Amino acid sequence: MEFEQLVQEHYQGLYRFALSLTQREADAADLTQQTFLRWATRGFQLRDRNKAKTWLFTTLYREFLNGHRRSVRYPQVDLADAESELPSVQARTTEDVDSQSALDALSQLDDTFRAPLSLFYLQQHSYQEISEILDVPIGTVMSRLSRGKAQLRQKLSQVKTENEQVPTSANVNVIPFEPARTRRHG
Amino acid sequence: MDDAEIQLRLSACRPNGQDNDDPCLREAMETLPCRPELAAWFSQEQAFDRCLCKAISEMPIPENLRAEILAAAKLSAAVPRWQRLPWLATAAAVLLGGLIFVIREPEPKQTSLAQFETEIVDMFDHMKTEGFGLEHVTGELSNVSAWLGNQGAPKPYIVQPGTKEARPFGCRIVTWRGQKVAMVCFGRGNQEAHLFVVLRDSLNDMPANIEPQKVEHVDGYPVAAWSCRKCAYVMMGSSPETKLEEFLADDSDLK
Repeated sequence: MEFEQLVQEHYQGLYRFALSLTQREADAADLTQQTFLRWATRGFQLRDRNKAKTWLFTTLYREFLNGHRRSVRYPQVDLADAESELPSVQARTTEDVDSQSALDALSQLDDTFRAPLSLFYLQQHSYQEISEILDVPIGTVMSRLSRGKAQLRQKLSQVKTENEQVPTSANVNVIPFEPARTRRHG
Repeated sequence: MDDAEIQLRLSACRPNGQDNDDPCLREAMETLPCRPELAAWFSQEQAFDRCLCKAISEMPIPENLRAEILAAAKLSAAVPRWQRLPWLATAAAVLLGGLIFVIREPEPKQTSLAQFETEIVDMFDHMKTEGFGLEHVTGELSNVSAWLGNQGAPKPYIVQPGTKEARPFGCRIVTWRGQKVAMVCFGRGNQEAHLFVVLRDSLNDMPANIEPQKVEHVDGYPVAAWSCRKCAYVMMGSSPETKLEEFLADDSDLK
C-alpha cells in the first residue's frame, strides 16, 4: 500500500522531470519505472520516509546521468560569478505557452540549466531541495535558475517569433533592469 | 544586500507562495517596496514562472504508466530481512556456494530443448514463488536489447507477431548451467509471458530457423519454442491459464 501511495504521489512529477531531461516519452517512462524499481529494491535503506520525494528525484537524475554516461562535467557557477549575467526582463514571451512549447524550449537549454529549471517549474521542490537533488550548492542553484530563465525566455521568444513570423521588436516590451555593479557582500 | 543578490534570490522563489516563509527569500522580498524597478521585475518574473508552471503541469502523462510501474514492482519481491544484513547475506552466499561446489555433478556440455524447457520452467516457478526482480525496467524492446547486449547476454533478435503487439516491461538475466540466459517480460491485456533467450549452440537438438510449431505444457505452464540464427527462444506463460497463443500469433492460427 505504501508503495502504491508513493507511486500515486510522485510518478507524474518524476515522469515530467524525466521527459524534460530525455526529450523522449519512451525514455522518460523507462526512467520513471527504473526509479521506482530502485525504490522497490533499495528504498528500505532510507530511514527518513519524509525524504522519499527527494530520494526519488535524486535517483532519477543519477539514473539519467549514468544512462547517458555524461563525460561533460557540469561547471559550478559561483554566486558572485553570475552577477554580471543577470537578465533583464522581456515582458511578453509566455502569455500562451503550452506544454509542448515549454518542453521544446527546455530541450534547447544547456544541460546545466535544464534540470534545475524543470524541478523548479514542477513546483514540488524548494531551491534547497533542488540543491540536494542535483548535488550542487544553493548559490549555484540560484544562479542556474536565474540564467536558465533568461535562456528560456530567449528560446520561447524565438519559438513564438518563428510561429508568428513577425518582427519581435514590435512586440517585446523590455524593461531594462541593470543590477548595480557593487560588491554584494560589502 | 544589493540589487543583484536580491534578484538572484528572488529567481529561486516559486510563484504560488510556496516559499513565502523561507527566511532567505523573505528577506529579499521585504526590500521590494523601496525598489520599484526591482518590484516590477519581480512581478513579471512571477508571471513568467506561473505561466511555465502551468505549461509543465499540463504535460500529458502516458495512460498506462502508473499501472506499468506497479506491475513491474509486483515482480520485485520484498527483500527478506536476513538479506538486509550484508554480513549474513555474504556468509550465506559463501556457504551456499561452497555446498554447490562440493555436491554439484559435472554438467554435460549440451542438453536437449525439452530439458532446457523443463529446467527453465522449474526455475521460473521457483522464482515466482520466491519473488524476483527485474534488473532493467523498460517499455521498449530496443532498450531491452541494448541492455542485454551490454550485459553480455543473448539478445532477442526476433519476436513473434503477437509479442510485437505486447508491451515489454523489463528484463533480467538468469543463469542456467553456468551461462547467461536473457529473460524478457511482456504484458498483453491482463496476461503476462516471459521470453527466455539462450545461445542455440547450448542445445543439441535445436536446428536454426525453426518457427514455433505448437504450444506445449511443461509442468502445467504453456511453453513454445523457436530458433533464429544463433539464438533459441522459449516463451512461457506466467501462469497455467495464460493464453500463450496470443503472444505468438495475431489471429490465434498457430498450428
